Amino acid sequence: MNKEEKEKSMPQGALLESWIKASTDFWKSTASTWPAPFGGISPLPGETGKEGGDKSVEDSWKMFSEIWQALFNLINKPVTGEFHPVSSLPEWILKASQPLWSGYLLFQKQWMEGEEKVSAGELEGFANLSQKMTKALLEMYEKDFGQILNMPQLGLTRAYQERANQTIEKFIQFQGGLTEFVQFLLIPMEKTYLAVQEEIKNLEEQGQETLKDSKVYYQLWIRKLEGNYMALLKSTEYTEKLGETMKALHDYRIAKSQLFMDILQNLPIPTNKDMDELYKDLYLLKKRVKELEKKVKSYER
Amino acid sequence: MKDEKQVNPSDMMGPFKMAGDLIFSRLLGDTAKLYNYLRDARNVLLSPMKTDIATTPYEVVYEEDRVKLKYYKPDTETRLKHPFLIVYAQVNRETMLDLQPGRSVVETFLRAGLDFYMIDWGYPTRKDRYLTLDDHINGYIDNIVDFILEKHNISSLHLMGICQGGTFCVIYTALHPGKVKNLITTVTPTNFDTDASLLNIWARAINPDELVESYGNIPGDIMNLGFLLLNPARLMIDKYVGFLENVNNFDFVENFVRMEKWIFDSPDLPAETFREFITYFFKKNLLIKNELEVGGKKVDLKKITMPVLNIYGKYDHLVPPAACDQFIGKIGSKDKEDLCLDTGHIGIYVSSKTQKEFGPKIIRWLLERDGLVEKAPQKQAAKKPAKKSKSKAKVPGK
Repeated sequence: MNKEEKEKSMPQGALLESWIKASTDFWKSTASTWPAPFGGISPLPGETGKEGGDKSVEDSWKMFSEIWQALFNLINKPVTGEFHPVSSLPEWILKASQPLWSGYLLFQKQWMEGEEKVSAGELEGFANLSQKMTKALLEMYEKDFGQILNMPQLGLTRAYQERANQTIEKFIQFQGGLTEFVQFLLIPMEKTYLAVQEEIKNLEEQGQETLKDSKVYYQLWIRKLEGNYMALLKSTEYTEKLGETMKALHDYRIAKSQLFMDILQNLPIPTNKDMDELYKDLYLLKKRVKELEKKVKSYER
Repeated sequence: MKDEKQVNPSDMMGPFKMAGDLIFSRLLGDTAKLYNYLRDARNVLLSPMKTDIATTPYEVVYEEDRVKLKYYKPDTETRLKHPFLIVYAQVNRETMLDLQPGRSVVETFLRAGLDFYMIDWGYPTRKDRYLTLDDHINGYIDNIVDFILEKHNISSLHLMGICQGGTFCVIYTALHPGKVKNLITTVTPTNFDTDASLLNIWARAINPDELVESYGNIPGDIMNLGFLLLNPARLMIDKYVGFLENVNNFDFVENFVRMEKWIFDSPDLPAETFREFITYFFKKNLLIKNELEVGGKKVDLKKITMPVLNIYGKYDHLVPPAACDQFIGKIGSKDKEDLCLDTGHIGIYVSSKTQKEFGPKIIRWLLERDGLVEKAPQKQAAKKPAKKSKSKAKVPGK
């Protein structure tokens, strides 16, 4: 029986056990060669450096290997009762990566659908396809990662952590919105490209000279592009998309400004809120002084 | 021996060879051209240019916060009996009126012997975010008018507004009619309930409260991006293709750079003024409906009874004729005139063609109403000047 066959015949648990033992032994021997600052606590005054260092390394590793063994035992135990640790590591990894896989599959499905349409002769268009991809990515984010960011925070730093999470979430949402908006703006480009291609084809079919002057093509292209942009920019869809992007920008800027305020509060720098309060006072004072000046002037007359 | 029926491979390549020859001959021909073009372009771009704008000398005669009052005086004797004040918009800068020698409204006025004042709104900073329409109209403009009237020891002046500055002037005149002798509005939006401009459609869709909350003052760059998106094909592509085509032309490049300097010199907009402008005008259209209140006072357009000249551009994509042509019908004046010119929003002030029409018309109109020249006979009425191909003037008083 060669080494490979031997490994195959070993049960999964035994294989994992031998790997853990080997890795623990390797790190233990490696750590024993490290100098004190890396491998253990520096010797206290009065202690001999070598003895103190070696002892701390030994203690640390003893504790570490015990934790490691306990964890391994927990993973390797069969499922019992309510508390059922994952029966095997591969399964555990598979479950942990489940959201990523489902997102990837959704993304791939969208792409395949787009490809199918193109091969079936339906004009899907890159802009349209990329819009769907962005939507799929955003959906994936909202279903999985986005929910993690919205988990309730606990403890003394609760509010700070919540604001940091909000900023990340709003940033991602704004980037998503902006990407969709830019993709929207690219639609006329693609439409025009296809329309001009069609026009050139028609000209060729009619036997007209088409290679004479590139400027003619450019004029044709820019005229069509302008028309397509006008149609897009006047559409309700564009206005809605613009409104959504502006809203996402607003939410992100507000979240960012609150996060910055948390940071600036710990530094000797006034925040925008502090300055705005001051400016408001200044504004009201100036207004009052100007009114009084006018009144005094009118009395003088 | 060669088979007579056999097709010569070189004949099969005929059409491709022909096309290839055509392309290569064009490329070869163009190579010499391209070399010359690049050499000239380099010479133009590396040579010293005069791209300063607003070079006509002026004197700053009044200052309040960030706002300055410029005074332009001709070399010759001044002709107007009443002082003349120009109020520009807060979007972009008043330097547009003095872009370059030969294409300058300032120069045209001075050459005709008109002395005048012009408001420079400056660059608002965060501390200006609380300034409202009331602060600008009943505050800065009124203080400036009082200063000028006191200086000249006179009770009224000629007032001219440009774009948003024109809207300010309309409101000011309705609130302080006694201080305005004659009113000129140019490309001034007064009716905002129109879909003729994308600006109107978009402004109704945005939430000004959110923008103000997140930005404070509205950055000039955001406004500029909005203006570019009004026509991306022309303003973001074709314009620069045109520049590349003419980059070897010194005069063209000089003018182009001047215009670029002006276009992208955009001060931020004071937050509260922006909020009120979008809400009161674009969303509620209160001015033309006679429902606007500024500083607690009703802005009644019927109180505008002095002579009024309303000029706008037929091809204006920012303030279309539909945004301007209702105003004259809503005011109380008897001597009033609509003038629609065959040009766009900026072209009205800078195009060489309009220079011959716009400035001289204002000069003549003011001199007539100041009693310095005899009034020209009134032209035949034009019902809808915006739809005519040529500039027409409505009958004053219509």
